[in-house]
Amino acid sequence: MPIVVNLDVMLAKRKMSLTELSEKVNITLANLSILKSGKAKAIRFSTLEAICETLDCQPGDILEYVDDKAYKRLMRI
Amino acid sequence: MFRKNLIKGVTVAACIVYVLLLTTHFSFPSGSDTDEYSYSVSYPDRDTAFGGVFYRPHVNDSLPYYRYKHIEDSIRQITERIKYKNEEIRRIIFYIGAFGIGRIKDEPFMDTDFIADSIVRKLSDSSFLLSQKLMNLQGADSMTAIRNLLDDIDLRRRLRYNELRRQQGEKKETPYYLILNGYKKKNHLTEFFRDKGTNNLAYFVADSSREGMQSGHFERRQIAVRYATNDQRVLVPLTKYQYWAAWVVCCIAGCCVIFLPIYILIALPIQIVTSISEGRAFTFQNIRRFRLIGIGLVVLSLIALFTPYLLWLFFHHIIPDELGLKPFWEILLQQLPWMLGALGAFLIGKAFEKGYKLQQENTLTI
Repeated sequence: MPIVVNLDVMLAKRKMSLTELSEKVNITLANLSILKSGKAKAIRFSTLEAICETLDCQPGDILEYVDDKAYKRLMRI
Repeated sequence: MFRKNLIKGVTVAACIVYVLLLTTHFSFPSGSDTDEYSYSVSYPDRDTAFGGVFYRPHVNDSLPYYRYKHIEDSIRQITERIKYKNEEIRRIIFYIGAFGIGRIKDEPFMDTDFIADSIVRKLSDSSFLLSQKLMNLQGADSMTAIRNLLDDIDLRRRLRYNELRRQQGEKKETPYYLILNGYKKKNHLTEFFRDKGTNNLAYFVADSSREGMQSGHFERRQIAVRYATNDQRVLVPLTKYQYWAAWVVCCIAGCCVIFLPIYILIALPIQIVTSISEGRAFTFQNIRRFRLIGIGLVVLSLIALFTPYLLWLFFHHIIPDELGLKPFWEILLQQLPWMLGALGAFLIGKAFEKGYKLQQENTLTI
């Protein structure tokens, strides 16, 4: 699925850990890990809104489209 | 995706073509219920050459009713005995669908077979004399005493019959048979009969034929196999060693035939229901179980469908041409419920697969 979630980049920029983010947006750590690792199939707007509000960023900062080749290289498939 | 669909389409088309070939081009002999002709047959008058299968003597209608009934009952007993001798099969040891093995008691002994025995004769004579005496007696005590004696003689005669049956049975060797099911007579006039320990067929031979009517007579021919008309079974004689080899094969086949349906129809559904009750309905294991149920049912129905034809390939050289397998469509119809069950299992498996995907999507939606 060639939509990459750059959550770890934004977390590094904002100097926040995944655990802190999960507490602030009220999503379990397991789900955030799934999102971060790229295994998620879909994301709700409400979740995206909560993350963007917490990290003070735009959806485009977290979600990025890459083509199939680049995606496979990235995920090392 | 296109390649997958192409492969699926080619596989389905190949299966359909194969089934059509099997039904239309393979010339397996098949029995038939209906004949295209009506027949005018001269039945043998005294029937000494056909083992009594055509024994249907005419009873004089002008006789008093009680005598007519007595003769009719005697004829019925004789024809039943002939039918019993020719067709009755007992002591089938192993029977799985299209085939089985067994040892059969040949030509059972009736009481009349032991009339020549000296002890039976003496007891019968005593019984007759006492019966005559009873008719002329007056006193109740004397009549009761004579009746008790008659009962005692009858008991002794029964015991003697059983002893003689046991002795005769020990001397006779019980033959071994391989039993093939699903064989019908191609012509309803054909009859099987046993004569002096040999297997024979009485078959119709047409002398003339015109306008849908055939006239003819019966001829007889000795055959290698035995046939049970009521059960539609062919019995192939086996030697002792062949019988025990077949017994081993039947045990192995029996294990498969017994345990496979138990696993498919009981164990797998129980596992599915258990996982559903635990809230794990749409799992990969359940999808696999439904597929296994479908595949298992297909395999069982295909085995039942083609086993008769495989056996015919082995034994067609000794099975007479007058006997043929049931039509392919008839056997196919018998397997239809299993095939529909397999289709149902595959469809439910597909539905569970879709449910699994939806569940995964829902689970992985953050």
